Amino acid sequence: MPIARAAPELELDVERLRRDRYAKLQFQMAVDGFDALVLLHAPHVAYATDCLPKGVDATHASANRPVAVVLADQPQPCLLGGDPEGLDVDPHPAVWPDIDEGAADLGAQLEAILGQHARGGRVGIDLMTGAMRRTGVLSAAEITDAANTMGAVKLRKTVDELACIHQAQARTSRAMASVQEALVPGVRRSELAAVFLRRLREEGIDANMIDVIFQPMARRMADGPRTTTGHLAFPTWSGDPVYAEGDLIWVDAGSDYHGYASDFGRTWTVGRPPTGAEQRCFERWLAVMDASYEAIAPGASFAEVCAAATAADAAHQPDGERPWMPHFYLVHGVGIESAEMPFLGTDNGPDFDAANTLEPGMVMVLEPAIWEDGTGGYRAEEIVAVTENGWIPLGGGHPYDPFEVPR
Amino acid sequence: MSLHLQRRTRAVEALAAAGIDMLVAGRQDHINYITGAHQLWTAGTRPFGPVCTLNVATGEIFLLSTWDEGVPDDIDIDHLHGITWNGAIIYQRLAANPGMATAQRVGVDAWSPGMAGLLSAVVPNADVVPVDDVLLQARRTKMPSEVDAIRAACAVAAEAVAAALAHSGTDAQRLAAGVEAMAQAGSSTPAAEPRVEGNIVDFSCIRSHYEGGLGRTANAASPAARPHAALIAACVPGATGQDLRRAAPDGEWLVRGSGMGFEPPVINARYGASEVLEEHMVLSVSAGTGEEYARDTVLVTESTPEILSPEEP
Repeated sequence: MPIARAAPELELDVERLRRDRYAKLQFQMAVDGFDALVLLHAPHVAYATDCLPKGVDATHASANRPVAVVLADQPQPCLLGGDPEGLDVDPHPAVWPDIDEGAADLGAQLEAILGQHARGGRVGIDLMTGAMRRTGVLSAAEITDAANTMGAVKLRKTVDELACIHQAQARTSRAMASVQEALVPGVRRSELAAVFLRRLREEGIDANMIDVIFQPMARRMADGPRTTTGHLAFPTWSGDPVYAEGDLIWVDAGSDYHGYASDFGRTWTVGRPPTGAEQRCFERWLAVMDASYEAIAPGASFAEVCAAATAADAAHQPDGERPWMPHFYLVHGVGIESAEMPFLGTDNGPDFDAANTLEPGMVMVLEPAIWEDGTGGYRAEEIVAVTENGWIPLGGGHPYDPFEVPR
Repeated sequence: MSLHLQRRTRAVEALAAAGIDMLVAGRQDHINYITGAHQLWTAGTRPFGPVCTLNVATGEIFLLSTWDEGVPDDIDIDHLHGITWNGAIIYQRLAANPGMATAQRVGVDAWSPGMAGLLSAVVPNADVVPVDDVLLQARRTKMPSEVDAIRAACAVAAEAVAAALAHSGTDAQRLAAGVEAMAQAGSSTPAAEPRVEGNIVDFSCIRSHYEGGLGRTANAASPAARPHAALIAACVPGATGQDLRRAAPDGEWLVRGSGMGFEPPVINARYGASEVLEEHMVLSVSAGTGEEYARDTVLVTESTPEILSPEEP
């Protein structure tokens, strides 16, 4: 059985990570015909410069954000602000692109850095603040969205990107092992979050990227929040509940290691082992995972993986429902973003899934979810990377306790 | 009227005064301000995409949310749009939005070439203009309930500062202890990056949408002798950025708005000279480096500034 297999040892070589990414970026800029890229979205800045995103509120992340400028055929990127210490970048003064004065500073710096390209050059950009629009930043350049270029470079991970995701997942999992020990009847969500955030720091992770989710699941959908899909609501904001014996908790967390995200998902019961009905949901989930793993290979279409997962649970789905939440997917990618391509089984529809295929270097978070109304359900997440021959697990091996994997 | 409806009224009035017909918002702080919804907190910058629309004339809101958990009752489930991964669906929703077809001016709180292309397909004859400044202007002064929320958030951050100051371990251990204490006290979502660097300890959090924060040093001087004392005293109605520069100590300092996170005004040695402080603004005031550092969250009143963060954490 391929589940719970430990990941192979992957060693992060930071110099190689930077070199490989920058080379890919330069190559893709040439393909897309860009003279320059101006990047404000923190994961994009990190991709170009290795100046890492911080796990802070969006308002703070935006206020005095670093900006990366990548010029075609230049040996290193420019970094405006951020901390250039130890990075292979051309450092420039910080700007505050959210306020008009700061955006004007950014405009002046871009004029100087871009030179002739500021006038009629083809410049890719991922975001403009209102202040940049008001102050006319890059108004004389030919502006195009950088999204496709960034999407292309991040789709197939380098070995060091895999190492980062593996580390993020392994460390997040170890922190979660401590949290699960603290999950006893009467404990509050805030207490579990406190353990998790302390343990992340102890694991050397200082950027928690989503407010960690320990969602108590109503046993019947009708007793849970109303949804636009008529299906499950997850992951929701749920305040600070106190957990009681017998509660069914769906867990979800994501935190960055060297700018790459983990995605931890498990189902826990509180204060008692799972019931037989709950365990049967887990076993259905395992069957879906096994079928998905079997189907994952370079060249397989997204649709083939979805079909294999669906067939594995078809006997339990009289209405032909697929074993994942309809507002999500069977699989999403992970990397510098917590959810990025490849997406399998989304509302992009069957044509999209049929037209796209797995490629070596893609990273997939499998997150099927099984639901039996009245019982509840089982959901967990596992990460794999597609290889030349098949796939390898990243950060794998976290137990499914208190559920039992049948021998 | 509940707080979020009072806030929405402010935003609607400001947008109407700016001649905006439709708002297309993607920044979570603006969305929280207008809707009052509790949506999943995620760290870091975001690409621009439509998460919330507001028809300025009718007040009608559509919000990107697959469920009604955390969504105030005034936004009904038929005004929720489920999460989508499909650009065509985003386009169809915007195009079907009542008021979009006749909108002359559509306000956005950020911009990207891709989203500009999508919007120009939806509203080919409308002006698409940035309104982040309009919304932030409306948010600049705080209502009494907002001040209460900020004070409560400061108390949570103070628990983190106290735990880190009391801890005798390494900086990393003290930081972990602070983060743990802050979550236990009610916030697992940091505002700025927490700092524990030798003598300096600074924590901030987002709690129920509002930011609270403070910074201290071990064995801090009495409040009047702290490096930001003169800056705080200068935070009175009518004070300009220039006035604050004159009151500022040598070295690093920053005065900036604090509400639903980091907000204008931003006043430091480089920016904000012409900003003018108003009664009911809430400011984060920090100064000092090395052995002497302090930060507090401060309410501008008609007389002496009121410090919202606890004096002794």
